Amino acid sequence: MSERPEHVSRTARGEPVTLLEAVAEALYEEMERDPDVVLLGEDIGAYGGAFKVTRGFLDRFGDRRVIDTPISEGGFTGAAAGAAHMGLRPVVEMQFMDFVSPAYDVLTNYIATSAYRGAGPLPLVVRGPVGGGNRGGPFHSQNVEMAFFHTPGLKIVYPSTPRDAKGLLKAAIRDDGPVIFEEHKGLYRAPGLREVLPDEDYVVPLGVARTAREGTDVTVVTYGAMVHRTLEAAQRLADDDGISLDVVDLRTLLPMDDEAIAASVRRTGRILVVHEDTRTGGIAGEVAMRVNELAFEWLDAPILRVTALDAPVPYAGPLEDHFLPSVDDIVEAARYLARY
Amino acid sequence: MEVTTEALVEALLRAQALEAELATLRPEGLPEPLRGPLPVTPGVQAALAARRGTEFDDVLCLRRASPAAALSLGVSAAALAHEAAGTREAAAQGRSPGGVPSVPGGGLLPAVDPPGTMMEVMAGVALAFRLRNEPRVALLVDDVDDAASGYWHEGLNLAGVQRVPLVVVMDGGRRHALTAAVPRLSVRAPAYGVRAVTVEGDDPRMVLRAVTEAVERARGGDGTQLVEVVPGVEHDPVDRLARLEPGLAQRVTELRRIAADEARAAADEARRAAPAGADAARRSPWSPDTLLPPPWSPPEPLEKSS
Repeated sequence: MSERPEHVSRTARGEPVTLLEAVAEALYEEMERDPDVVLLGEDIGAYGGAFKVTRGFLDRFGDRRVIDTPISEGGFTGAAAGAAHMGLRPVVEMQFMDFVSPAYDVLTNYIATSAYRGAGPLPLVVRGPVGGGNRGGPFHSQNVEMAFFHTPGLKIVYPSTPRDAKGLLKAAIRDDGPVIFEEHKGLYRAPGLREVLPDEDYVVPLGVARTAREGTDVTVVTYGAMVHRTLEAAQRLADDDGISLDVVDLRTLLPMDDEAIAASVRRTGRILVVHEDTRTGGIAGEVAMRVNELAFEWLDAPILRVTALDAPVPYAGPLEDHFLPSVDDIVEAARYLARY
Repeated sequence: MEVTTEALVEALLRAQALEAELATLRPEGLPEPLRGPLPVTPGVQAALAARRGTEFDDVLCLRRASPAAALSLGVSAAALAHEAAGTREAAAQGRSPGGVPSVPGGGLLPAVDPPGTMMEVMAGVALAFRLRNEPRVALLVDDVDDAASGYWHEGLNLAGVQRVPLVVVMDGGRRHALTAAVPRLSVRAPAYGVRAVTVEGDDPRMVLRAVTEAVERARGGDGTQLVEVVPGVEHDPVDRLARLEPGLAQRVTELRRIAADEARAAADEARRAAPAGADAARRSPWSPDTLLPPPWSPPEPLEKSS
């Protein structure tokens, strides 16, 4: 048996891990735990993946469980569905989640409908890097959640911390239904996010939000990389204005933790939704409707949102900086709400 | 297992009779072109149906919702009628027009409509067999039209690269002349590393032999196989087959009556059965034990605490 790769050994040594290493540890440990877990994706074997998440996996698990595929996202996602029918638990890596679009057909028409059609559950995960801020331009920076959010049967997970990334990915792999798992590439190696994880098998349940910061004045519902910009904004507002933000990290977008959102709004009476995805048809609209249904009587201000522009992700630095929600944007929006 | 000519004829007649009855069960309101029987080359129907009792561990998928594959696996005519009518008894309970009850672990996978999807999925089924060193084969009977889709080619390419035990029977049906954009697939297949043969679709014996040999090659480690079935001149091969065996022509009348009785009884049973109700529609695709809220229900009373 080959030696365990260094990037999946840190927790065992008591060292802090990055979000990327947390993802790798989850995959590695699930493959050791369950021989039915197999990986499919482009360059994930010999090359170790575009971001090196699966570096060394081929040596440990062999080419029958770490499968380099042709560049055909539709083809290998559909094949993962067939393998899942036969009892395997495939984890499909999209090199960049922008390229999940060729698999949209099989994900929405076949995989998402399988259990409902009576064709059996399909336990599979489609995971990969998302998000901007890396000057990747229109084809290497997208957030894809809303392309799938409207599809009954799919679950969508988007962690913001290493601890959640590992626990949620393990939960996703063990889930009996299809899960889309988004990993923000700007968080992959962010040194400030390194944390020591429990050296034990743990999962974070799907569909449960967490309170990233407790507060009393304004609820901010967010996820992914925007959690950290919101926490930065919260600290600035507390220091400069004495405004207290209650930050809800959704973690799982679908199914959404309605009660966590409503409970926070019932405490604060104000809500701001922050997402990196583009504005129209973004998750803010759905959150607003659910707050309307569940906590309308508690609202003391309009529901507001801070989002990316309704445009493709631009390539040049100054353009992308203007495109993405900034800490300043969140501070101004929360301040407006607090004073409404 | 040796398949007699009489068994072929019987299988073909059962599939044809049932297909005609199932067409009458499809829901009112379905556009007329989708209501009638879908043409699958009789040779393919008979060959598949005649596989009954041979390889139950293999997994079949028939792109067109012909009952032949299901009958070949011992699924009852009544079960197929319930699926077509969308009754409470159906496995899909009226939630999908898949046409066959799903028994993915037991040999049959219902197809979906987007062309080419099932090539991808069945490549994955075969991939699972290869990864586990199981001596099983995935058999996809696909419509020749699907070969114009990119997904079909992606699936075949993946199957060829991974040398999975997949047999693809491409059925030219009666529409080959209308699909001139699809050249002979058996000529293209070797470019994917896939061995291919062409067979005349009106001769069930030839189709049966070609499919059987392809299945055994795939099972033996020879990778993905393609059988291209091209339509012949005969619409219905029953009479020709019947002439091949002494006394069989006289049996055909009786077999046809038995098949028609079976199909009619199955359809009648489905007509008498209760239709699937609202609870079937409301079953959550995330959690089958949970019912979704109806399109309208009054909101829970909201109460502000302060």
